[in-house]
Amino acid sequence: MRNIRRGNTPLVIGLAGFLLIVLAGCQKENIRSYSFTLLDQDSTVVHFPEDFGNRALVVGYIYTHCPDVCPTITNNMKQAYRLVGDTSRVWFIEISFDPTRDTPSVLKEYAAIYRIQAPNWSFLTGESEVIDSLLRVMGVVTQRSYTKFDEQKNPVYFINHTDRITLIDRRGNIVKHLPGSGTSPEKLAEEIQRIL
Amino acid sequence: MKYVLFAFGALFLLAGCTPQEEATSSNEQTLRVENAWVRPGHVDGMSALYFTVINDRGIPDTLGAILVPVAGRVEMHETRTEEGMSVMKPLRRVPIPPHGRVTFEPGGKHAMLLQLQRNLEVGDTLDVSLIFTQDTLRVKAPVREHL
Repeated sequence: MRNIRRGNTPLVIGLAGFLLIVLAGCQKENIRSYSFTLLDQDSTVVHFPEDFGNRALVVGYIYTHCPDVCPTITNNMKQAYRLVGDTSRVWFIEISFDPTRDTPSVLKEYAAIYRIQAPNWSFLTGESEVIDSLLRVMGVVTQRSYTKFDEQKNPVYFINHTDRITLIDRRGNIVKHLPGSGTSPEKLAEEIQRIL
Repeated sequence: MKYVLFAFGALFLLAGCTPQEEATSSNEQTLRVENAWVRPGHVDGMSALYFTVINDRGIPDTLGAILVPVAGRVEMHETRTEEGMSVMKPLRRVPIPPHGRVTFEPGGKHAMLLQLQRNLEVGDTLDVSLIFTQDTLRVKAPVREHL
């Protein structure tokens, strides 16, 4: 019997370690301990996340020179916004990971082109270092692809990026990361309802 | 009666000689494009064009280029997921199999419209020319937020 127990010791330690890892994984990261100073589409200084109070946050990551995936993320968020109905306890945010080109005025144009006028919808940009820090917290990876130059010598480049929408509950906990372009508006709306 | 038949025959032949408008050709046994649409975009920015090519013929074809007058440049790309990231790969040519179809759709193949000369707003319609090895098809593509 003693031999059997001794033989089980590594198994028990391994199991305990596994449980600790699982429990640590269940611990939701809270973003209230961070503060990022950004600019919205009206060039207003925004402190993320504290300026959004106790609202749930739906956060997408985009760049406006993205022809395919980012407009799909914007569209999914827009359709989900309509489906949620009562949006008084939620704020929709799209953060640009291309702050060099995505100035507040460019983000404002993007909002106009996609006919997004909701008062509780912000497009955010900022200093590159601040954006990079924010992306690290959100687990979003970006990588600039090849750069070409157009006739006016302006750089033309694209950005490989994590395709993601993050849901943050009213206490600031990161509840879930969803595929940004691959989550249907219906599914996204359903997930948003759960964090309100 | 012979003359009547002759007249019908001649008319039939003449009809066959009339030049066909390639533009929105949707004859059977041919190549056609359906469901073309374009995303909104802002001047100097970019957009994307989506469509489906249907090849009813028994021979293959290849889509080699796309022209959209409102765009300074058009490139074909394909979005893929690699190591958890969305990446775009340029496509120089797109083969169209015989009796097959190829769809350009969000998250997949798309035609990127660069250097837009004006804003593309929902409700606009763009002229698009798709240049295949054996045909050039011209279609109208409405600007929409999604299909």
